[in-house]
Amino acid sequence: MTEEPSHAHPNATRDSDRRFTLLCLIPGITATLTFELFLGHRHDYSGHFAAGYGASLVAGLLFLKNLPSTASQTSRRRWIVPLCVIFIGLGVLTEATIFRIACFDVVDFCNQSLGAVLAACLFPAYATKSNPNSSAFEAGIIIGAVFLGAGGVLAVA
Amino acid sequence: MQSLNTFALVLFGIVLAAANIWVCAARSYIPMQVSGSVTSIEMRREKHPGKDDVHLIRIDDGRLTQVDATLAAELQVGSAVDKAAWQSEITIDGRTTPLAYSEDLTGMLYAMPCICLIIAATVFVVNRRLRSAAE
Repeated sequence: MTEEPSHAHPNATRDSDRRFTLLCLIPGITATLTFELFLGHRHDYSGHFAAGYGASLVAGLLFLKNLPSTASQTSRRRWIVPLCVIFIGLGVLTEATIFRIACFDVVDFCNQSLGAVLAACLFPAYATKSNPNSSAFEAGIIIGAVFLGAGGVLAVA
Repeated sequence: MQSLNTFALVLFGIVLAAANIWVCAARSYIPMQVSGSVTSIEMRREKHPGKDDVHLIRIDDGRLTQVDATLAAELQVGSAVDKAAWQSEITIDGRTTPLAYSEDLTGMLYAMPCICLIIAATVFVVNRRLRSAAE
């Protein structure tokens, strides 16, 4: 199953990359705004969610891009759930150590993990790309970094 | 493989959203059954003092729970507390005090279903793209 065959027309690749960029942007923004709409009195909740989403998007895309080029798309997709579990585990670790202020906050942990889950939902769209070096990768990394930064700001706002 | 990914990711989302709601509800004490006397009350500062402080209550059965600030303000070390699960009032030293859910829980009750829907919608769109590309 390929999202874009290797013989894909450059315009088709461009369209596919543009769609992937929108996929990275729309759910992330909608979810962060949902947190702000209903839990606006606690910007740190949206901050943890956005940071979890951004960090997982960056780390996931870097991992999938650096899988051996011989790896089949099925084997790339086999990594998606384990990656999500690893990112949730890293969230436990950071929340219990460097971000532990008063105590391990389960709500902060759940929010950043929900961000990791949303990011993982996008990985299949990237894992099935025939060209991992396409502009979709750069766009995803930039969007992830912006979410991570915005999340950090919101978490302490 | 993709259906397994879909199932796992949506399940993770639902479990985490439910955990958020449960934790916020439990901090009001309303879903909890509590009986005993308070042995310690501790307030720890978080990032925004006065806004996200952590209030930890220990009961003589050894249980340590984080509670909402409004409930912590009603308690003192040595207070005898008693309540049944899902009762929206607590007896503190023989005096009945009403309990209320926090603004956090009210927000979570709306936000978490929306976040689950966003996760499900994202999975649906990605799956549809993969299917249409395969055809």
